[in-house]
Amino acid sequence: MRSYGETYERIIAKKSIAESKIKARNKRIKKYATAVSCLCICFVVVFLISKAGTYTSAGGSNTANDLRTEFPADRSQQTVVTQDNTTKVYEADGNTDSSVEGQILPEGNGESEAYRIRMVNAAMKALPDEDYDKIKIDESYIIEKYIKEGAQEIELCLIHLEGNTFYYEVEIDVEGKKIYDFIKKAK
Amino acid sequence: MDNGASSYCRFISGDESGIVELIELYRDGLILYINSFTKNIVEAEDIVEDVFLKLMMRKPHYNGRASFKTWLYIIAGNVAKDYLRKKSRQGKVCLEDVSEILEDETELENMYLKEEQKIQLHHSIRKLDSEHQQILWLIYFESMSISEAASVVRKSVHATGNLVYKARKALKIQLESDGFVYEKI
Repeated sequence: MRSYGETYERIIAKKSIAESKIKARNKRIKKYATAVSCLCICFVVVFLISKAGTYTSAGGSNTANDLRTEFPADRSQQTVVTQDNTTKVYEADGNTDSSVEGQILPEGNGESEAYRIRMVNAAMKALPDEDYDKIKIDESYIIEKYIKEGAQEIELCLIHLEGNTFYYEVEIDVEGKKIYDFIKKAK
Repeated sequence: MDNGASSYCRFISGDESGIVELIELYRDGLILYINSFTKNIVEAEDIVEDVFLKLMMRKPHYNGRASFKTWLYIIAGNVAKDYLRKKSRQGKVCLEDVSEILEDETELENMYLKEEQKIQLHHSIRKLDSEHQQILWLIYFESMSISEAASVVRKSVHATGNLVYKARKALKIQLESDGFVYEKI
């Protein structure tokens, strides 16, 4: 039979063993928590980088038509990068396809460019009318939008497509790069 | 008499002598109580050490609703049940010599119970089943009331009363078979 002193000593010994086990376990937990946190941070950073550079055109959060155009200096050819990342080349000499509807009567310069019609049609098809009707798209909306997105210069041109349908042709300069966009004007 | 509550409070405040007092006050009784669970005095000693270890490590809060003794016996009962559950899963085998175990048990009985009559009574109680042993130990040797014993064994007061009744009946049969003679009044 153990004495009271022996019992007390055994309890103290068990206590120090238990405390060292707890210390070792806490150290392991801290190590794993740090590793998991670093992994999560890396994942978030990679995710954000992959999403960076995404550009949405007018219509606020409802834009499905993410057509961007970059005009080369001579404007003889125009490469359009569509939302599904295929590229189409439109000729400036008026080659059209069956999707062309209407005529552009741009104000001021007297030019008539068929490829603009094609892009306008694509923009029209991408968004239903009712979405545009919800948003009052006018010059101030467009200017505000593109300034927020980093445009240094904004040039607007109103294009009459047909009937009551008008489009804004927007030419903006973002960090030295010319970007074109077509935005349907609200009725 | 606060049954060790003040010693525990002193221990919580940082005075190690509090826990030493509690060990001296309760160790032997707890060993004999837990022996009713384990039927092995050596294991009962280890379990009692774990009970005091739990008090030292976790410092559970004593709210004073039950007596300190009742509260401590509840903790001891829970630690004993956890130990037995773990032992049944691990299939532990006791390596201690049986004769040594019996010797230790007898020595402890003599130290704690002291009186011959109490020792004889305890010998008879040890032959009963575990639940009867536990309740009779609490009632007869730790002088707990039915309601205090009910808290320790985690039963209702009514169920504990029934258990005490059945345990006494079983004890009576055991005492008679052990040759105990009633005094004539």
